[in-house]
Parts: sequence; C-alpha cells; structure tokens
Amino acid sequence: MTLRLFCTPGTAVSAVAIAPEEAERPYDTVLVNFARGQQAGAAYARINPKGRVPALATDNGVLTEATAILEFVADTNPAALLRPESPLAMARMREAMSDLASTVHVNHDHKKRGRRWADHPGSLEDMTAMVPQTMAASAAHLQAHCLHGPDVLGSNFSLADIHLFVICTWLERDSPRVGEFPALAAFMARMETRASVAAVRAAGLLL
Amino acid sequence: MQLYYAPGTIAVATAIALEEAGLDYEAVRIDFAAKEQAGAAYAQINPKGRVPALAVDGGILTETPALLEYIAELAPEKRLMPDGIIDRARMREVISYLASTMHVNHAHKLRGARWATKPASYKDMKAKVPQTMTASCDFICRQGLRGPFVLGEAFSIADCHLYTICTWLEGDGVALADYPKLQTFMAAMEARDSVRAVRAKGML
Repeated sequence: MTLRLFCTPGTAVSAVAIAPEEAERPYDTVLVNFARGQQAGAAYARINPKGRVPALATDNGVLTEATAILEFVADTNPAALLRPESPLAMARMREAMSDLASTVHVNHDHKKRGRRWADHPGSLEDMTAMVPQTMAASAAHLQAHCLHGPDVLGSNFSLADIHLFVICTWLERDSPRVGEFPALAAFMARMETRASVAAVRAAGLLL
Repeated sequence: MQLYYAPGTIAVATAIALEEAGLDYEAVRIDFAAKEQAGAAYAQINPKGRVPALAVDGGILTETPALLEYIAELAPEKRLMPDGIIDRARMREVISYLASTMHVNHAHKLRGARWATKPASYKDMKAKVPQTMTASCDFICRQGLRGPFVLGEAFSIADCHLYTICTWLEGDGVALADYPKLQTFMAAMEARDSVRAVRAKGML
C-alpha cells in the first residue's frame, strides 16, 4: 500500500510522520503551504475538505485526524508494537491522545486560529493573550497525569508518546514557563534520541 | 464499574455504549449546578473536573474516545467496532472530529472562560456557535455519516458519540429538520434499547 502524507512543518503532522518511521514503513510527503493558504484551496479540498493537515492518502481513500491516522499506522504495522496489549493500558494510551487532541491542541489553536470560534479582533487578542496560561496549565496536567513514568505508559513506548512529543514541541513558543516541568523536559530529551524523531527532523517536518 | 456523569453531557455517549455492551454499571450523578465537578472530592476522581470518568478494575479512565473503545473491547461479541482496518480508521476519524472539533465548537457557548477572560469575548464566541455547529453538521452529513449509521448499516460506538452531540443541536441554534440525514439517524438511535434505557434513567 502506498502512503502519501500531506503535511505542513511544525503542525500535528509531524506526529503522524513519526509513526511510520517507528514502523520502518515507507511513505511519501506532499507539502501543503499554509503561508500561501494552500490548505484552503480547491485542490487540497479534494484531499481534505476540512482544509487541515494531516491527511494520509492510502489505497483505500484519504484518512484525516491525527489520532485516527496514528492508530491506522499501528493497525497496519502490528509488528512495530506501537500500542500496548491490555485493554486498560490501551485505554490509558487513548485517554492521553484524546486529551492532547481535544484539550491541549485546542488550547494551542486559540493563539492563531481564534477565528474558528470568534469574529471580533478584541476577542481574538483576548484568546491569544490567554494561551501562555492555558498551555502552562496543560503542561502541568500532562506532567502530573499523562506521563505514568518516563513514557506515557510508564516504560512502554506507544503512539501516545509520539503525540505528546509533538504537542510539547509547541510549549516553548506558547508558554514561557515550560522549564518548570522537568519530567516533561526529560521525556522530550529522550524522544529526541529516537531515530524516528531524527528522521522527521531531518525531513524538515519539525520546527 | 462506576460511571460519573451529568445529564445531557458527553458522558451520555459512554452510558449508551455501556448499555449496548450489556455491561453492569453504577451511574453516579455529579451535580454541575452545585459545581460538584470542580470540588475537591471529584478532583480525586478526575482532576480535569469533567465528565465522563469511568472507575474500573485498575483505575479511573477518562476521555470519551478512550472509554468508547475500552467498552467495545470488553464486549467483543456485541460487535461495537468494525473488523476492517479502513472501517476502523473511518470510525476513529469521526470520533476524533466529534471530540476535537464539533464538541469544542459547542463548548464555546458556555465554556468561553477556558480560552478567554473578557465578557465581550464570551458573547462573541457564543454568538458564533450556531454558525460553527451548522458547519459541523454540514461536514458530518457530507463526510462522516454514511447513513443510517456512521458506518452505514453497521452500528458502532461512533453512533453513541454522534447521537449525544446531536442532542445539543437545537440548543445551539441548529434545526435538526434542516438535516434529514441526521433526523433519520436520530430516529434510528431513539428506537434502540440502549438510548431508551439511558433516557429512562434520566441521563438525557
């Protein structure tokens, strides 16, 4: 099966790219240029009508949503052991990923994507101004409740580590207080030593 | 298992899934009017101060997408998830959209204080909710809902999730009558024993 990943550097796409690297699964990348508004153009609307990245073109159609794509990579590469065995550990992994996608990522999006939810310039400024606070609260939550050891699941690498890593790469720019979270910092340093992360960084997908 | 919930919230999706799975559970109501979800006692259950939370052997689990799959895995004979890898990805794609886009759109009506500090911003966010929820319904009808259920004829946990969010539409300024496909879906859900049971328990 050919995999083609539509991506923009520095977005949640990098998470989706790390997974096939972990599985040693070849994939092509196609850059979608946010600066030129390509994500909102007619050509990309045929790939992902939501006008967002990531999108993964497979032989059976285009998949969207980072968590769904990450699980798809795990489903199609079972030997890579990207998920735990037990239902409870699996639920812990998914709990972290859902938290990242629907709370932490959403907090981050209020910095520059406030127009999704409000219209007035004053509201957008208000949202942007609160991001350091919400992201610092998110970092505290992730450190206290999402990391169950050196990794999200303790000491078993999983999809949730990939997702957490990428979202944490945004913390430095969103919150001046990230240095206050030593367990997260240690997690990040360990992730940087993985070949998958180095490959995605070398491909220019991490900012 | 104990399900911590508040009526009409996203916790209903987990309750419907538990009913579909035929699993025994105790429903523990958290009084949002009295701000019980933000209190010290509930912080021991879920430090995020939200519902649902599901107490199971081995700990407390949160986050609707995680709970739905957990429940489906506990009752494989009920076939609450498809077997095929692509169908499973489609199901997760819809669940992720519901959790991180559509639910978030809805939350801007009453939970603006999560993302802004000024009353004028809350008003602005609230005013936009009919527009964002309409866009979400358009998207779901075009890309997420094959009909009658999310994955077509086969019921799945994504239906529990979509149903619960669609119970909010009228309050969010979206007329279900404008979306015949969603109306058909909602009618199919209302006819299910699981939804009837959850309604009879006063959770809706």
